[in-house]
Amino acid sequence: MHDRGSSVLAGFAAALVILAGCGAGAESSSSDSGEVVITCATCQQSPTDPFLQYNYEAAQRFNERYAGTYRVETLENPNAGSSDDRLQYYQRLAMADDLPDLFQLNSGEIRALQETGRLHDFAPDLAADEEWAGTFHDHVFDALRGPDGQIWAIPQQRDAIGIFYNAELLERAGYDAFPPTWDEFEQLAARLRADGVTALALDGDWATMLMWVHLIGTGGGEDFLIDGITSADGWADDPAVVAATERLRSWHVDGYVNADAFSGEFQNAAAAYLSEQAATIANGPWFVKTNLTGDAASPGLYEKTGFAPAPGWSAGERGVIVVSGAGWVSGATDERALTAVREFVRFVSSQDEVLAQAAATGASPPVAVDPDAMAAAELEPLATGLAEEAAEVTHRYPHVRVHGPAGFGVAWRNLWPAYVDGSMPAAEFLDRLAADARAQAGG
Amino acid sequence: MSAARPRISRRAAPLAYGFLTVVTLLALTPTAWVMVSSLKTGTQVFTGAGVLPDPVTLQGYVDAFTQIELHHYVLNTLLYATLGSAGAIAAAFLAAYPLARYAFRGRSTLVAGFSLALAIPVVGLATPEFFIMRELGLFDSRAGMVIFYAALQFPFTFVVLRSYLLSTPRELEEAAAMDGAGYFTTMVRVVLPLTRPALATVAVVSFVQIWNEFFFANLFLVSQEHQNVQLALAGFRSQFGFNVTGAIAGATIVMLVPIIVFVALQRQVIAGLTAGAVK
Amino acid sequence: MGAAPIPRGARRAVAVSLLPGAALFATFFLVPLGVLLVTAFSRWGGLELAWTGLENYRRMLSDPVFFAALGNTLFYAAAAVAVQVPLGVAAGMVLALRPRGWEAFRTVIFVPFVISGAAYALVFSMFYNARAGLLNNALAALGLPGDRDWLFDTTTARWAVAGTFVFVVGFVMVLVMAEIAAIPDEVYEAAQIDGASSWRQAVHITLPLLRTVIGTVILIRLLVDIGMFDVVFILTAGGPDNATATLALYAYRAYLNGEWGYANAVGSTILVVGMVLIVAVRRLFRVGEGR
Repeated sequence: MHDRGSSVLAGFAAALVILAGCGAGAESSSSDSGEVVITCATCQQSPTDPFLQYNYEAAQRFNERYAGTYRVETLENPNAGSSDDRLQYYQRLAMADDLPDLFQLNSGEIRALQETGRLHDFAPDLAADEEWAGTFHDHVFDALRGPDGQIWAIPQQRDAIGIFYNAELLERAGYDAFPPTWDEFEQLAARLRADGVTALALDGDWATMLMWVHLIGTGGGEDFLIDGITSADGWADDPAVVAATERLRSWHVDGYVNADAFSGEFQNAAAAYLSEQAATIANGPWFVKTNLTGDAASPGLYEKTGFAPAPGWSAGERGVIVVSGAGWVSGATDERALTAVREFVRFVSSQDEVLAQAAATGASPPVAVDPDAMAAAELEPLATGLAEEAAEVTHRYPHVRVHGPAGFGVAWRNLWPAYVDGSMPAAEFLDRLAADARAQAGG
Repeated sequence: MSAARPRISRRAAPLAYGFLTVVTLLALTPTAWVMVSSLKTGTQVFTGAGVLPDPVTLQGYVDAFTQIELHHYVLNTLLYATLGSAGAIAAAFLAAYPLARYAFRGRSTLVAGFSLALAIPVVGLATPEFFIMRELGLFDSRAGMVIFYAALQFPFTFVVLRSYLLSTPRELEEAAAMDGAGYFTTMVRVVLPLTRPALATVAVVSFVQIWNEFFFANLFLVSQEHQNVQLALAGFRSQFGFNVTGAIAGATIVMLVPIIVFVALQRQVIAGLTAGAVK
Repeated sequence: MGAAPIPRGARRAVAVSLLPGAALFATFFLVPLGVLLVTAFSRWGGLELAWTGLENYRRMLSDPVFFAALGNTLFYAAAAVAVQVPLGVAAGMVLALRPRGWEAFRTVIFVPFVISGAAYALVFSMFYNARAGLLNNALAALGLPGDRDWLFDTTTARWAVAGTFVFVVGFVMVLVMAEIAAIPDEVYEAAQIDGASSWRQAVHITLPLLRTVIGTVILIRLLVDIGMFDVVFILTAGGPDNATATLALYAYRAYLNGEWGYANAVGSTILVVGMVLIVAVRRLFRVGEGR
């Protein structure tokens, strides 16, 4: 009984149980040297995602500047990019009482996560530093506020989203410029279809919602996109919403969109555009870096791509989506960690950093930047072109995916294909969309 | 094979081959097509032009390691699959031996309990498992995953090892006892070597099952540095930073690992599945 | 079986050696079952717990999405029983007749069984793709309409999901082959003296003897299908309009919403449905009653 066999076998199983004790909670918020260490869940190196890559580099610069005082430590996080799983990921961490000190979220996700009561409120920090608060563009905090004036995030960018188009394909169909009204866009779509070209690339998710928002925003539904959407009720009573919904559906029925327009994978929409099977696709300026200049794009596609505001329902009524609904949030509670978090968000909203971010990602700065410095930074023309044009267009509105209820994306993905294939009328679709979006946000 | 066995007749053979070919095509076509597509360029994948790669490129495989960093997930998964299987086998062997050999109070209850666990659709227990992992501090940790997988594979491993032990003669053990060998000595020196075929079998099967596990990995692992290959596969789709050829090549590698294990150790896998089913 | 009593002096050793397994079993099977049973009748988000009686079950029975998920789950189980099992049994029986090259066929037909659900999701998202997928391209090449979005059309979605697993017949096939190999030679000898063809022998001798193993594979399939999650979660997230959602996915959504008590009520339903099906199949095929 006292032989070594017992330790080999029983010992192995016991070792497993002991291992368990060591595996948990390997987290520290300050090191021996007095340096304050904070965790960041969206600062990992990424060869494919320029946003993450920028965050990573910014964190390195921050660490260098504040060496010995503050240090940002990267948490490797598979859900750092934009995906449906991202909110679920942080909700799970919140349930496990383990939110990172720093991470990025959009406003819909922030609204869902504020329920956990575990987000830091930046309002007092901004109030205490008026000079810093004054550098931000107007309205950039609108989508990031809580019910009692809290500010849950420091905005990360302020982007104009429009429509990318393949100028060569449009020219072949007889158009020198992107059509200024939806009627003309449909005429263009019919011409393209006759040539065997898909007019518009959609994915059943992000890109499809962008077009839905464009149709609503340019059709008298700006108020809905700013206010109505958040209440998640009575959507079917708004004529602008119903008209936009039905029009977007008709493009599917009429064969103006790619056949795989429901997968919920943006990459399927991108594939249609990048392989020049589709002539247009809606997205933000980051599309250039993430897709257009990648190796899956047809050779020369970048040179023939233009970027335009959405058409209007009548002439002269163009619109763009302005996204400033994403930003840096913090789950830190410890005062020492919070000091470091405050310093970090101040750091990334400095002029040098916002320009570095713009150069790296194509995202436009959330703070006012000196025009000379802007010009000297030589930013991506496709991105800055629309940002400049955005100042002139009639309609500006937020994106529903960013500003709508947090459950919106999931609800949309589930219901939209069924509505398009004729399983339900528009009113039922909109009612159920609102109800599901509300329910899935944990309400 | 005995002469008494019915064999395929010459007349029926073409029919049999036709049928088998259809079954093979139904089972294999989509997977084979995707594997072949791992040698295509991104442009060719996106256009869907042509079944065969034209031109052939290994760029996807390069990207799978340089951009997606597949090796990192592979290492995690190897850790879970080897240590998880080892843990399950150690615990199951230790339990299966006394429960196969000795009569004592509570024996049938334990056997029934351990075996019935095999018949539980465990996904129904998702939330309680999450709760327990969290309370034990095992949430999002490698050690936690190893322990959990050991537990998940325990019932299957136990059932197979015990039924194997029941069918092995015990003369050698009795002889060892005569020589004064203790319980653990007998177990390790005498029984363990005898059980080797069954151990190989359960090792292979549980390795493959842990390699392929998605549900609980998705539930318990949030940090990228802890994730397994199946989570990596599912995460290949997102709006930013998608590399389609890298994803397909990565998926091909993830699929090939259990396939190679199976083809190399076919006999063990089939014996294991058969033994687990006929309990 | 004739198990001996524990030798004197080894009682403690036996207890020690039972410990690791018992600990794993208790921690990850017994305790979770207990937690499930209590919280299924409560409102619970991981912290405070409020007893609500049958409220969770009442809510479940009034939610059409629950019934959609239940219906789909049973549909997938039925698809496995109706397609996968007969196909696998037939393949196993044919291979048991040992046509030349049977081992190669056994290998290639079995291979898809060791591929994971997550990998299958990626494979089939490409295969079914409406613009560049192999299925639609092949249909188009045959002059048929080749642009159906199989997974996202409410009329075809469930079938497309079933298509990802019903042709994976390797497991059934292998079990059947093992069972046939275990049939004693004498059973066939008499028939051969009578000059019965191998076809007649297969149908009249082999098939009836496969009753138990067929019951077993159905049982195992049902256990797997009742908890179906991976492929649906990754491919369609349950859409369109919940046409592909399963019970496991439905429970998972409740869990994500922090409605753990409700998730567990659904979880208990998965266990109960699983149990009912198992008992039914065992009765029907007399599994576990010896041969």
